[in-house]
Amino acid sequence: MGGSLIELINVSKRFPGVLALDRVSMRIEVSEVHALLGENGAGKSTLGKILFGVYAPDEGVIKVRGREVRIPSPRHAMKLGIAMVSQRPQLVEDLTVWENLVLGLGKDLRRDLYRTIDEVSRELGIELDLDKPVWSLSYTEKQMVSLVKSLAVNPCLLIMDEVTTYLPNNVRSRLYEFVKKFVENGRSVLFITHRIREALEIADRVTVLRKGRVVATYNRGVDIDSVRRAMFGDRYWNGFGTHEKTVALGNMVLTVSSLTVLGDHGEEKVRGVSFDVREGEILAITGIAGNGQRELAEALIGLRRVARGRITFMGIDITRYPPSKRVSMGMGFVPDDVAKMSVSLEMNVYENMALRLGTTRFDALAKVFESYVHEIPVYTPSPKVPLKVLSGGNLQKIAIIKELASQCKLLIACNPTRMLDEASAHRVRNVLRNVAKRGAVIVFTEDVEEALGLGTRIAVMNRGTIFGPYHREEIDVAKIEELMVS
Amino acid sequence: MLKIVIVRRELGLSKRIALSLTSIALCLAVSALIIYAITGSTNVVFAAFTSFVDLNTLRYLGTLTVIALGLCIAYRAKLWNLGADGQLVIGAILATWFALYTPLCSSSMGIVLGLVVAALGGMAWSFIAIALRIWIGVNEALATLLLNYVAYYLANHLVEGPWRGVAVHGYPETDLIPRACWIPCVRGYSFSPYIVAMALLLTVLIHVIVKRTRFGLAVKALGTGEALVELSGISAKKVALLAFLMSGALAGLAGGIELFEVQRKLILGTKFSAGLGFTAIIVAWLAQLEPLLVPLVSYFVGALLLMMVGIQIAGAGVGDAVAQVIVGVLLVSTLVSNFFVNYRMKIVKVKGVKL
Repeated sequence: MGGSLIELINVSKRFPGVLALDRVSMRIEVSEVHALLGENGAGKSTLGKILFGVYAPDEGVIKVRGREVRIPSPRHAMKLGIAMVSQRPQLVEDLTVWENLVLGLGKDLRRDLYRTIDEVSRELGIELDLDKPVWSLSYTEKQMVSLVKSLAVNPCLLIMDEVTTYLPNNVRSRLYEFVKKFVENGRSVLFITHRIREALEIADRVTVLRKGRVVATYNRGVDIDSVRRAMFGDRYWNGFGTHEKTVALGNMVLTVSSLTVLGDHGEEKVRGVSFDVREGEILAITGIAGNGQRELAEALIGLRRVARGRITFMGIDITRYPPSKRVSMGMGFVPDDVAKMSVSLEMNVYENMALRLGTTRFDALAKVFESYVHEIPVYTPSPKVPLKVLSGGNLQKIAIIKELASQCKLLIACNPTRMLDEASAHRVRNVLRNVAKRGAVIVFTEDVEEALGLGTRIAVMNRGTIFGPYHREEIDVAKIEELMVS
Repeated sequence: MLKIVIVRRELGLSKRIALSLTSIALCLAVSALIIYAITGSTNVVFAAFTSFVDLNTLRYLGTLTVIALGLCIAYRAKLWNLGADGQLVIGAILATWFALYTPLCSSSMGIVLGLVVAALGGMAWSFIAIALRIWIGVNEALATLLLNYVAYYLANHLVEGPWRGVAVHGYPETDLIPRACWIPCVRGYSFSPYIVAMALLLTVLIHVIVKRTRFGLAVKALGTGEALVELSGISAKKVALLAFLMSGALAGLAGGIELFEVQRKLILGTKFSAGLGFTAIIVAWLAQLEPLLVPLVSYFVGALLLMMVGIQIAGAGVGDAVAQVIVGVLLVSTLVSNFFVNYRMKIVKVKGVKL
């Protein structure tokens, strides 16, 4: 490592009603992977966006290579050699991959573009078709396009904001390798994440943020417990929690028989899947992303048409029912992408609750919301601000709270803890266990340990077919991983 | 290096209103200067601006408010109803049929019944477009826009053919509708206090629906996406249908109002609507789709419409074109000032950035 690349001195940022960053000072060295770790709403993304010129800091100084700078816009950031990849790829859906890449890119930089594309494709093991329109790409491919796009400006600092959240495991580990190689010749990465293990695996140094303040900075080799304690303070916890040993099974809630569902391009994504769920059960469905989980979940709630087979809910054939009818019958759904399907970013917490629960008595809704916030803490400046100012993790919590408050009989949740820090994820898992006491839960998760810790039965999806469901005692991590790739 | 950046800002309600009023005042001052520059006469300036204190403006307030309220609902759901003009004409056609060809007019509830018939007409006309959208996926903006012409030609056909009046000396118009169907205006003015009151009542009603009911929230959610509405347990198709039919019904109602209160006979389609259905689109957006602001904006835009007439009457040699230019300038500057309520321009000094 040779000297500091970026230095922040007492940087503060205030949003209406909340101090997002409180006199943050930190230093990013040349040639290092610096992880910025913190729970949901700790101010990680805000810090990244300040460095990328999206927000202006209210106070404080930013130095690049020892010189004080102002970064009024992302354009300036890129001129300073700072690029950013975020969780949601910022691409023009109607343009092709190539058009997206050259959009706004100077002529002199285009020459190197092919080399960058080759390099990234090789490292991540994904081929990119440059003539495809972006809307037809998978999430992973889109994320790769935005990575190439940020690399095209030859950055000396690459900010990666929760980029691995939606990536499948194999791509994720290749990305780690890519990042480590990237910093070898004098460049640096600021790796923003809420996953402790990820931060410890990838980073040379880790800075922990809590409620907008820097709590600690660690060098490589620190033990996970100290980091946890720094991240969560007194609310420190460990493990996935325990199960009650016996589950009292009640009536049949959902029966799925020989279900076949088509994907976006007409291919069979779910092939003749059958299973059932009873009251008191949590069925965890795991597998590598893209093996039909999303299509199955959407078919269960009615967002996707069923090609063949039958779905029965509480004894009624609902195969052809629209989602609204299923929801009013007592199904609840937490989608992968809550911001698009589960909450309206233009409305506040209470209005979102009112939409789902059907009452517009806002004082009553406030009470309901308060009672759930005890279980799952949500950080909002005020419940009356539109949700667009909240972080992704908080949106996910609100989406879950809405479904809990609806007292649904069957809750289908897709990766409900993916955006959450460990402490919040733990609380959400507990809440899901409580839901199973009065109904049933189906959880789709890519996290094998979560599936084992949460599910009373566990099924594995692989290329559209389902293995299991198995009882928890019949299966372990090794067996699941074998089924995932067999 | 100096650079201009535009920053979004969130202002309190009182500040927003103050800023809006200031900018409107500024706009008026500028347009006064323009009128003076063109005509060189202070009389014309005064004549033009009396429209803002002229009670006749209330005639436009009534019609524009009713249409724009409906558009607010549809636009909140991101359903682009550009066919209010045609829906208005269909409303007027049905109201004309009701007044001339049924005996119901003279009954005690005749006018109310006539307005209901007009609203149903507008609703049915908007149903064509939204049905095509929901069940076949035809773009509703194009469908409504084209249906306007169908409505105009239908009106033209009626007044030039089967419905041409016997006492109109061959002009393409129907006979006057029976007196029983006239909504009485204030003596010496061309507006009815009943219509103004109805428009204000509808404003409150639509405000409550939009802000305080689950349907209103669902309409806004539909703007985000159908899945959001469906996953909330509400049928997205029903919400879209209802929102669109409400906008059509209100435009049709406005057609009935125009017939009973102002025109009192059916004339050629484009002449009858006089583009009010399109002007109402401007009203809805200037009001930022907030129902409570619609009457205020309607008054303002109504005054501009009246001003066009005022300028031409007062200023010799000032034609329709000049009047339209002045009104256009006013509208554009209002839109710009609207922008500044939400955004702030800042000049920043950029310190030597290494390129």
